[in-house]
Amino acid sequence: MKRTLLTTAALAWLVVWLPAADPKFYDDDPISREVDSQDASRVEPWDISLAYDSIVNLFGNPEVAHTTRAQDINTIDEVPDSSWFVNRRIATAEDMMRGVDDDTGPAPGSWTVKYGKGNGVSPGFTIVDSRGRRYFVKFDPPDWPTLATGAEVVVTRLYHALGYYVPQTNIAFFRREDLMLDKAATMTGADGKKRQMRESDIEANLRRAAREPDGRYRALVSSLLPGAKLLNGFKYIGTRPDDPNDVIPHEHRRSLRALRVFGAWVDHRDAKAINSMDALIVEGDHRYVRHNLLDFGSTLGSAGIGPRDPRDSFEYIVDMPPTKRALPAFGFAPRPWMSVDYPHFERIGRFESVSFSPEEWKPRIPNAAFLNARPDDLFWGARRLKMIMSDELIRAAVRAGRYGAAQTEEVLARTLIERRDKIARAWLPTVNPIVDVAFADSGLTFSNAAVDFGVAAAPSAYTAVWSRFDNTTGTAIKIGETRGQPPMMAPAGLPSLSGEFIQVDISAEGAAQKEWTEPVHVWFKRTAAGWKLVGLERVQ
Amino acid sequence: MTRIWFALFLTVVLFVCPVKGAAQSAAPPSTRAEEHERQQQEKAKHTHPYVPGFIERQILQFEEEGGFTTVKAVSPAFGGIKSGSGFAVGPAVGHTFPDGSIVQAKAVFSIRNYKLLQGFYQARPFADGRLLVNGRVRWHDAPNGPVFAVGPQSPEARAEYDEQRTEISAQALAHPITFVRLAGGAGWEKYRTSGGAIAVSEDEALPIVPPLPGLNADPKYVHTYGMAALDWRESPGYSRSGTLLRAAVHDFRAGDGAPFSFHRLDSVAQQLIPIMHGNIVFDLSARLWSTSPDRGDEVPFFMMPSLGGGDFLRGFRNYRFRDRHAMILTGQYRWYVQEYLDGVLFYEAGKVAPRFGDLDLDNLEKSYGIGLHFHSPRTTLLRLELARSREGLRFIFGFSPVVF
Repeated sequence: MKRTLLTTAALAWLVVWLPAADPKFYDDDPISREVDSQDASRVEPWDISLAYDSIVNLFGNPEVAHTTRAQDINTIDEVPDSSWFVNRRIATAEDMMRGVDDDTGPAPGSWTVKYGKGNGVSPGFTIVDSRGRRYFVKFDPPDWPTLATGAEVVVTRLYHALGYYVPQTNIAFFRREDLMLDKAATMTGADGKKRQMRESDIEANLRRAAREPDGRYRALVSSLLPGAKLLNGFKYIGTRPDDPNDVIPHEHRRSLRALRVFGAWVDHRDAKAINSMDALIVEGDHRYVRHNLLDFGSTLGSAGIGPRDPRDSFEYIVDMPPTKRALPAFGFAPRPWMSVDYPHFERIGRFESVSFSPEEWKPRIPNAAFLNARPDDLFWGARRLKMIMSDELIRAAVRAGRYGAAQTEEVLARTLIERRDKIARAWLPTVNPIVDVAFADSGLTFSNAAVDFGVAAAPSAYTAVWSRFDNTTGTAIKIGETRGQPPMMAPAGLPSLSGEFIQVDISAEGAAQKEWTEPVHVWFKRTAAGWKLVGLERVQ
Repeated sequence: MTRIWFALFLTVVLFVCPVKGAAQSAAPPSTRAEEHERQQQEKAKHTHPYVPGFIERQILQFEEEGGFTTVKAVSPAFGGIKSGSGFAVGPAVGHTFPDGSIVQAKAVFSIRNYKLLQGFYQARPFADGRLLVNGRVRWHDAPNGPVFAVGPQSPEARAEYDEQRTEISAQALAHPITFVRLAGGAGWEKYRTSGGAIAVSEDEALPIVPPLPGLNADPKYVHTYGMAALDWRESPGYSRSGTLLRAAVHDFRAGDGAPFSFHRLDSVAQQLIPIMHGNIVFDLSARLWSTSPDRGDEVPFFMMPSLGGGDFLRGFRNYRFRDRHAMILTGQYRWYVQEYLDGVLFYEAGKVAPRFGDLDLDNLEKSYGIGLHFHSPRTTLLRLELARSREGLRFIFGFSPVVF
């Protein structure tokens, strides 16, 4: 009796006091939205130093783990909607050309200049149109019409379609007489301080701007980002300490890691903190921070103030391995950029696909999120790129850049298409590319993204290992194994009660890629409606 | 006894378990959304504004004040005294006005006891920045400067002399279109030189101070000049491609009837040829100086063109060769090491001559070497070079590009 009582009491104590294991899957998995639940109204703008940020990223040894799984993904390995990213579906060419919203730029009539850039490398100012809407205005360098403005419009549309928050951008044309200087207009003077803006400041800006043959100025007009307050950029490492909802280190956000893929595609080599902008969004009583990307003047073949440097995207600006090779070689150490033959299109700049190697691509400054990208992050980005960016949509985005030359637009679109396909070939086969997994009475169905997109040969067969899964302890007990092509029938003995789980490990046989023998783990939960996919892990 | 155990059992089951259960009831989330919310709630307890560290604050302040493009309240100033000064540094105080005008004063001292005091003012840019006007008041003291005999065949031995120079000047610089540069200016200059001395401690010392025009003279000049250039380089301070053609004419009118009035012509041609997208750059240049004194006058030795030192014929000592006329041909082979670092091989050949007609390709003095150039996108910041000539090996540590 004593022993029985003791045992019962001890068991009761253990059950209650031992830490309760979190279940692997919650009832609402997989989530489709990451909610910013806390009030962020106390977030304040912070100053970001370009030099300090560059030094830290160049010499601060940002974590290069390649082991930490992305933390902003849901249980089926997808990135849910959030204040960082939205799973948009841009269906038509018209939607792509439209961009973020229906705003097509300043209304006809005079523009009132409110603020000028005084000491920047590239000219620009802020204007208000006749409807009272505010725009940032930037220009092309004098000898390179369409170069920077076209790149910015095209890439904002592509990034919007891929799921990022960006400002609406358009191309606009105006004459000098369309500009009126507001009496209260200010600009940052040469001393770094604000001062009253003068007509001569407008002239100085326009002198560094490209003009059309008819004398008009071509400008990039960028809408003000939505939000009650602009908070300056986000860093690609760590979190913002004053934002209560910013709990995932940015280098572990797949949405930012996958910019490694999209950045390589459009040559977004300036992906750094100062080219982003957080904004405080007010929705009713709720305030949260939305994270925007902006300033795409240094993408495609443009470097903003001229064509892209031929060495860009091949090396960091301080890159020790090639430096060590080059120093004693007196210029004879081969470097990939030395022999690149860029097509001669002044309106595009230096942008091509033949020498493009997605795996070798680098931004100018090391980016912690890019460095932490794992094969499953790159696969996700490559698949999203291939799924969303049809040839038609790419051509539509390029048309929005209004390059004014059909051949130029075709060359640019074709280059983007070829680079997209290279990315697919590079990163779709490098993990087990099982996608779109479903299980019903008709069997287990799935697709192979690499095979479907034509970048790899189909394996001879697939193997599925079926297990009963305990959601509380995380243990799997094998039920059986099946082999063949989808649909694959399940073995006998699957659980049948609602709320029970199974785990299926799917691997490929006879494939050229050894990574495909590494199983993709998927989990299904039995519901009243049948088996529901609740989990997918590609790399463990 | 059994009662005691039963009481213990009841205590555990009825009291301990419910307490723990109550404690846990608020903690474990039942949904993913709750789990996320709990993480955000936890952070909300500890949010704080970002506090940059000391270094980040300094860099931020530097950037907000305009970075390297503006003159700062207090900053270090390097070099700028005179070739041969050695490493020189000192404080500078200045101000950039809202309209872009600049005022700066600096005092620089070198390891060889050279000294510089300078006040500088530049008016706000005119004509949309296409015209700059500036002026300066300047004094330097260069004691124990090297002085070699004049002429192309001068011996390696040297004497020393002291030089002080005072200047008040103004100039206008214009670039009406991108590749055209024009300049003109006028100033008053006063020189004071010692009679020269033998540095007995040095093995290479001359036995006597050579007779040199202007030695121990204190000429005062009204100096005017005009310059025109066609410049297709990316930047005067650092470029990987482009062409420079430049000519300048100077007139030095000696005051107080001193016999030292003369003209000077400076001209330079430079061609930069990039290969393999700038991986290799051939930098070819030719430079020529010619002075011509008024009838009966002389060109003071310290105003003559000279070769030797950190810019021209780098394998020779500073001011190693002087005469009324000089020329130098330079070939540099630069290779890209990384974005802001070039390796450099250079070969120079030049000569000085008493007559312009003697500036030919015979008997050129030669110098060659290797180096590293650290640079920004627009200017060379640091040159580390090892140069060799028939007179030995020299190490050059320069904070500016080769003068053009």
